[in-house]
Amino acid sequence: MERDLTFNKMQTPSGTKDYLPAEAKKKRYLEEQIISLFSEWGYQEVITPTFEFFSALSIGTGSELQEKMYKFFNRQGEIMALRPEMTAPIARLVTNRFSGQEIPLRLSYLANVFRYEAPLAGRKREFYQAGVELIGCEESLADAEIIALAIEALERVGLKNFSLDIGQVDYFMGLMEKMELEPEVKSKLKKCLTKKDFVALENLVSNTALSDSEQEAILSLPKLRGGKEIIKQAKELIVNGKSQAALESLEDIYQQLEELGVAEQVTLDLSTLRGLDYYTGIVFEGYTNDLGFTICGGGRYDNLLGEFGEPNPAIGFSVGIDRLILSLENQGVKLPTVEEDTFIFYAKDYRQQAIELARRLRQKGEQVVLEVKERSVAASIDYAQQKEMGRIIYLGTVDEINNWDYQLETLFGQEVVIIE
Amino acid sequence: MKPLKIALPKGRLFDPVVEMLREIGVVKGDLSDDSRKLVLNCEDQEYCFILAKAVDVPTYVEYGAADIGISGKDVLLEAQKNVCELLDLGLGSCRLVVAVPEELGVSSLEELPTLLRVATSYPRVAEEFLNQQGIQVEVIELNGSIELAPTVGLAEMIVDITSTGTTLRKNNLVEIAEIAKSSARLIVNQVSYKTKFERIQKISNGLKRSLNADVENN
Repeated sequence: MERDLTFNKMQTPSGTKDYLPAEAKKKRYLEEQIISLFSEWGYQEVITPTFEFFSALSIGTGSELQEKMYKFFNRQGEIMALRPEMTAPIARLVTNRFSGQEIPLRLSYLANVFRYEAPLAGRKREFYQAGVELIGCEESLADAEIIALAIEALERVGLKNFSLDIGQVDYFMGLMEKMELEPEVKSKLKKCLTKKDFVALENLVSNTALSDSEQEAILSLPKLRGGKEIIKQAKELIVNGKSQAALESLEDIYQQLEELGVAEQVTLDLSTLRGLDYYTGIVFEGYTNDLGFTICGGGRYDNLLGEFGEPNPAIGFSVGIDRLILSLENQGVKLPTVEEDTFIFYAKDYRQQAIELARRLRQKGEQVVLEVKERSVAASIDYAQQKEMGRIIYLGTVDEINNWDYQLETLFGQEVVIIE
Repeated sequence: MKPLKIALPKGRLFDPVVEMLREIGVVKGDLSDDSRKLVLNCEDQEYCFILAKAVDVPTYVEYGAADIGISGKDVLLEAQKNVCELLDLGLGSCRLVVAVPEELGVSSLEELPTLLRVATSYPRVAEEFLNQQGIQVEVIELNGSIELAPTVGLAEMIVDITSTGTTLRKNNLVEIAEIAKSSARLIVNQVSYKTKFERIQKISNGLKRSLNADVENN
């Protein structure tokens, strides 16, 4: 019969997925590893609402992300949205709940976020993030701490061959401030750089009235990628104070990273801007050869908290759990799979003993499945074998199971039959 | 070292692209797009070629199945993929245009009657462009022989690529607006751009040099 391909309510919506036991286990494992690393560094977990006022979620995010939010009305007619990322909710929470408290604040989260995007491998409409925000520090050591923590998180879960690109958005912003260009052209230039559309970048720049050296300063951005040496190269290209300061901060942070012993995993790249509008200083993103998308990203956002009412410098990052699973699998890293259960079934008269045995084994930390269905011995054994139980235990007389290979054993003073 | 995977578009761009890559030493032996094998040369240490349908090249590159690829700008505009666009190769120049049958007697967008059907294999570009011009259309997606649509009464106008205009003229169609200029672009996966930066820069710079040399020779 021809399959009916029209809508059916058993499907999940495009861009969403079910995590079946094996995958749910991997996800749980990664999240536990990462969140415990965060707490080792003194970051405390917070949980924010899945949906909030659209106006709060859109602060600092720019129109592109706002268009991707799932929006709806509540019964008072106010616009709500599902959170598309976690930085704005945390900024809102800090202003709302931690007003006047001692800074710095170190907060972490595990959250599902929602964006209406074209679904792709590694890009879904509901996905999971783990991340941290460090609030109240403008020191470069804070930037270095966040970058080092991002690197350690990826190492902790066993990711190999990864690297982090670090940029400084102020370098580009400084260039823009000094150039006489329409705001529209500036935002187009930024978009070209973010998307790495260098053909359009060149066309745009050559159609402006900028001087040769100004054009050169913009067009050389993609080439400013590498180690410490690019800072020196960049310094020769610019004359404005803001860009100069950005380069000095980058230099400073790089030195801190060297001291923290993580500079090897880091590439400096002045064309890294990231899409979100709220970034003000350092930005970074992590990637590996084994996945065509970035795995983690973050940066400094010193003005965002001010927009919520209480100015404070801040920096943070998040890592995509789904993308992390994909890259680890592409690298062949073994993640824990579902552990094997012990199955206990019993003859009618042995029910009490079976319950007691299950209780004791569970106390020891074993995963025990106790038969609850009334069915034949053959049906119970068949079920246990289909489910690939690690051990099948029978309580009762051996006459019942003569058709199977078995062994006798004593567990907690109780004689049991182990089906082979 | 793993070979750099390059997606090449089969069809009209194939020969000039291969020629260009041969000039800079990336293609060495014979490469033919009617080869039955779709993945070539992968035992080589340096480069491996994936022969893809032109419209699929951006997809291969976005996912990282290919590190780099060559794709027409027309295809990129329609596909809206998240890939880096490094270089305009100037090959396969053409224009995306709006065209109508001659007998309609229309020479600009303003003169178009209301309620139109437009046949195209660039539905996204067509709808976006015409919408921006304030023209309401019903987009009919076709996968080829677009110019036939008005003749058989499927649509009143078309959005398609043209290079010399011959096909349009043969089918009694006249261009009334240009949407975009197109030519072949060197595109790169967002992550490969970072992880294989030097190798990709080498190709990009090589191509750029041979482009400049061509300009000087002409």
